[in-house]
Amino acid sequence: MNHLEVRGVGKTFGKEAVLKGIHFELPFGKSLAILGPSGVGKSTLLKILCGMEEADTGRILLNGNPVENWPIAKRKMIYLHQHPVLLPHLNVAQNILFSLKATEWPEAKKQDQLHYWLEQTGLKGHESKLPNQLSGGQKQRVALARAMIFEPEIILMDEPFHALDHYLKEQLMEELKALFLREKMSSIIVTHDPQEALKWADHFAWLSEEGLVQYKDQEAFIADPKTGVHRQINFWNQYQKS
Amino acid sequence: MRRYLTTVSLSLMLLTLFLGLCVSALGLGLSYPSLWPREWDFSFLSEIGSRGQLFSSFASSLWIACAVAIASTTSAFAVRLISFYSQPEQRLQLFIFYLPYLIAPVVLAVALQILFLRLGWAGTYTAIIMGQICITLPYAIILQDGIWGQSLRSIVQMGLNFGLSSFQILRCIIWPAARGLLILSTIQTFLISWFDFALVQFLGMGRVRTLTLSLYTAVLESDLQQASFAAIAIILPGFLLMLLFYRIFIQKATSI
Repeated sequence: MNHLEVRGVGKTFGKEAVLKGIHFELPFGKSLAILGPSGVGKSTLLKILCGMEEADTGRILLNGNPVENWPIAKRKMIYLHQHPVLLPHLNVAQNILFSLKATEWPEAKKQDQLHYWLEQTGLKGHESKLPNQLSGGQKQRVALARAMIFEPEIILMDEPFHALDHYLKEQLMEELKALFLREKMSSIIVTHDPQEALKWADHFAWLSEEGLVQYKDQEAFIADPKTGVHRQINFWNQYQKS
Repeated sequence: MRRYLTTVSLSLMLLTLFLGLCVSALGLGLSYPSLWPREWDFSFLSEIGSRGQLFSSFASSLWIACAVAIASTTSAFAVRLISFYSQPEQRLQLFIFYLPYLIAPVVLAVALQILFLRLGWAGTYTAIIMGQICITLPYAIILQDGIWGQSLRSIVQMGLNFGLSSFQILRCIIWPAARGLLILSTIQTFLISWFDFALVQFLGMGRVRTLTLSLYTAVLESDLQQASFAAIAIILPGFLLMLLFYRIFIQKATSI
């Protein structure tokens, strides 16, 4: 059984059909990268999955159960924005614990989990800092720690590394990839960058106005000319030769 | 250094203004070209309550300004909150908010007076408060625009994602984000009402007396002492509020 199955999801804004008959599957503990040109509804698809937007058609199955009528929180699919969304008046620890406001966990468990996730995301020692005292990478870690402490089923990431510089992006990606593998966390990442997708994901999909194509493996993804990966690899090969 | 000099020169300017008003309020025989009074008269302070109804004017101004400030700010917050969730057409929203400023104040006052005469409110506090709210409510709505941006929408979405209830979202997300601008909005609408002269004169029909009317009357009667006291009473709250909420003023003024 797959962790997530999306069957024929469609969404229309006014007269414009943004998503048409989207199908894909995500196995347990794996990550899926969704690529595609701007404006084809990649972010909308993630918002539909987590329940922030409603699909007009189709089914979403989480662990085999249809979740279309579930409240947002019950789906436990956490959406991470492109720019980390932190509450400016709360410090790092309070921001992380914010996701547990609606839960009835005992305080001791909350504190245990807080210390665990501070450790895991490399934020130990920054607990009392306010968001405006953090770097872009640290802010993204806080957003991730806040999502992870909530014990989500799936993390949905909308270009999470887009606003970071190259070196920070590489470092953060490596750390988070290791963390996701350790925690066996299923994730979906939306990105414009095929290299980022190749580094992060195990499964690949291409979303365009015609719909979504899920590749059977990495080779198929690389070989498809519309993804642009093959072109990039050729360019680097020629560059190295010259 | 430049910041220090600016602060000192601004403080000196304000202090000179207050000193000038105090001198003309308490000095006798102060007439052009002399800059200093011949003698001081503090008896006016003890008679202030009986002369010129300054106290009652002060109380009327305070009551009207507080009512207008609270009603405008809370209503503007409610309007903004509803439009945040219902997301009506942006251009229509803006047109409605700016509409009162497309109409000349005198036309607005005449139109309102006709309405209030029909309703039997003319010459009452209600008429003045309602008239001023017509100006301050759209102002407060526009001023509170800074709260309801994309950033707040993303935070609210994040709260919903973690299963927060509507009340928790209001208390933990919207209120902390809005607090500063709500205080600023209350102060600004209070001051608009506090300084208003035209609507009070027109809609009050001489039956409601505020500080601005007292000042105007005192100037017409060439009563320098009374005019100076009224002027001090009019400008004092603005400065006090500015001092009390200095940080909010500076932070929000630079962010708007």
